[in-house]
Amino acid sequence: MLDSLGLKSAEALFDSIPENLLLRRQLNTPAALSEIELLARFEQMGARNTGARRTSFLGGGAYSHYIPTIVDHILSRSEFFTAYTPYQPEISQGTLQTIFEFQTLVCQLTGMEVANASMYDGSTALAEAVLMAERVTKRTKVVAASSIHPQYLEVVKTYVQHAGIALDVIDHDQETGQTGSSIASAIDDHTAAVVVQSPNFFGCIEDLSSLANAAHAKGALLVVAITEALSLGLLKSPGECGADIVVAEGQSFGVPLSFGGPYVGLFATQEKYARQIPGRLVGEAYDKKGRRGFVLTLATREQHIRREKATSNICTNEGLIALAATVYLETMGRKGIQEVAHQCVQKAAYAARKISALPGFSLPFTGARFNEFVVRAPINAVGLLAKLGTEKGIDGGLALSRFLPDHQNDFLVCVTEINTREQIDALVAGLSSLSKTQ
Amino acid sequence: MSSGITKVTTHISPNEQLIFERSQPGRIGYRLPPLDVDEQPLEELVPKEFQRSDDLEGVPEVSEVDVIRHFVRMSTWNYSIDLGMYPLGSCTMKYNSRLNERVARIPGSPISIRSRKNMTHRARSK
Repeated sequence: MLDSLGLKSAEALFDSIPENLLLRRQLNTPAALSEIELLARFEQMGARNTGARRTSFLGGGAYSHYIPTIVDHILSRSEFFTAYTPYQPEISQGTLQTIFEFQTLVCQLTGMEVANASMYDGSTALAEAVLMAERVTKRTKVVAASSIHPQYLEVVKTYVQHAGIALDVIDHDQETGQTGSSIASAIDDHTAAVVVQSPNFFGCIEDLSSLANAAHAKGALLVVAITEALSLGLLKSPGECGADIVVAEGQSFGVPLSFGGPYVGLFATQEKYARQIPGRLVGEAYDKKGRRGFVLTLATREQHIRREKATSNICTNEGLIALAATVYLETMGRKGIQEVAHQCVQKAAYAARKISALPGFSLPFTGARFNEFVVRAPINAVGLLAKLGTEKGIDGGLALSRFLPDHQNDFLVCVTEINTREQIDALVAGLSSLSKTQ
Repeated sequence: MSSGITKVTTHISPNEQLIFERSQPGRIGYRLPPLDVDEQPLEELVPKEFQRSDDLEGVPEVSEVDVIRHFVRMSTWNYSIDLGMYPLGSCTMKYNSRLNERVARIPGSPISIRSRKNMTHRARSK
């Protein structure tokens, strides 16, 4: 290389930097470690994370599910994980076909007509859906349910605060834990979208068909967010209920919890809105000899068209994580997705029956549930859960007071197919004994 | 790369169908332990009007080896940094030590989040 550049040494490449700005010594960093030393160091540090080995009933947006062994095996194919973004379809048919299959699966599960190649995560997908509703309807008011995950609402607020969109958050029904029919009175001719989550933050299933009717009556779109995507294995799809845009967190589909990320956002809508969909899309195409291939299509990102005309300046998709979701869904397949959903419902119902039978404990919300439910304890939930963790080695749930200060004794319990009956019984016994001793 | 070497046979580079075209009713690629709690009638837990009625029609039904072959075949249709140099990808297309992958998989590893983030960045575009 130096010969073709006509240079004598690699150092000559830096001749344009003034001599007094050059660092003529070694960087003051620790010496590099060998593989043996580095592995030992991280194994030691990993062993100190004792919380990672607890029995967990944590949900609230991130879910512990069984991941078939082949998911990680296929992700480790370096042809997938070291491939660049598929700009050149001639050398990217593997990635493009997997994304096409991912989009098809997302459409099948959500009951929608078109899905994109994925978003960062569920919360940013929801914020993008709100912006898309504004583009579609050319209206600037958004009505959102207070039963949406508080962190999702925060992300939406961040996106809309300087976009000229007014966000109106409507209280949920205190008895059912669902969005009540009172939301209809907040929808008017300026409403771009009604935004709900189902199952919602409290684990309750929303009546999406009624909400769709209420939104459509005023010409607004219904945007549905889903944090527990495996609920789609059992619950009526938002598409069938009349939703216009459906977004979901895809972590439940074969993605480990990994301390909060990276996850993958699902985004689907109806075909008539396809040109307003954010992110990128892979389509099926044929060459002049009629041979099938897959290509990026409708690429209205800011590098291709004027920035203000772009549907989104997120041009990225979570390629590898979307691949994990695709492998998961194809491995579990039609029967597996249904069976996981069925076990989640039954195990959560078993746990709810046992916990609500404990003296002093109750379930404050009556709405139908999938695999999460709110428990009201006789004592402060933060203290109770902390003791359950340290004394019994169980993460018993998420204290709601972290987000909702007036819910001091409430916590959210999540049960999935990986929680055994023995673990559930240990949770119930732990709650029982620790609530007595205080 | 091309130093005048000629292989005795051409590389197998199979065209791969969509997984939906391989689906066979009743075929499965997973196994879960049987439900270990007392079952309650589903209608008592989730009202019928909230349940799916399409029986997940169209979602593929394939075996584990079907899935493995499907993805391994598709992987051979990708060019990647492990196959050769890529003069694109100003931000992230670099070779990463395989040790990072191993460390990311240590249970409870504090680096797991950071390393896995690198993995998704590689599929990003800017």
